Amino acid sequence: MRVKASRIVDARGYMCPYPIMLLSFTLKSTLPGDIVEVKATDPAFERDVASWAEETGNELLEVRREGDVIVAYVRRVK
Amino acid sequence: MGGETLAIIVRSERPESVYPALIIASTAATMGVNVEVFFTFWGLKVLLKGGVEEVEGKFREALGGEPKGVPPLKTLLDMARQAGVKIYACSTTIQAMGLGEGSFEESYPVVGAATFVHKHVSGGSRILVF
Repeated sequence: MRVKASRIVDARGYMCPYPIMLLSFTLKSTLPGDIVEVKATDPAFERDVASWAEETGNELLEVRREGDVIVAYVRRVK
Repeated sequence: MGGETLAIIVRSERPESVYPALIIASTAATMGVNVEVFFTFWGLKVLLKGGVEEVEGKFREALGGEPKGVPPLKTLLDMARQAGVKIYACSTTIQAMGLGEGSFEESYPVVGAATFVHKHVSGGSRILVF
């Protein structure tokens, strides 16, 4: 699946809580329906982003690994 | 989650207290949790002038180098506040250490135990101590 994101967050090299914080702040600056792409190398991010999306009611569209990089797409719901 | 409150007490200036406390606080705030952090005893140092640098110094010393992938403590503190974390300073500690307003990096509300008990114990918050 290829998802088109309106914003890209590059959190590579940073550990928890940085990728999630950047995702949260960036998503807040978008409009409902917008998609944010996050690139992270924190190995916890794959699970964390799923928990975060579930808890906040935002939609995790896709998570994939590209080598050491985890790429996630989150759609702002409300 | 929404509506739940997490109260965090930071009573030590050790990196293993300060960092996890602020990491949990900032993350929880982005997940819709109301978060209040009370800095007391040595934990209060984080809020004092030069305190952030002191904690970072201890972290570097313990690691024997620069922490990798961890944002500067000032950034972590700023991110926590930007996410909505409320920060409080303990009145007894301020008195015991002979601190004044000028000792703090910024101005924070000063509270005592009754405020904490009223809001969090009677209020049924979840409480973490670092």
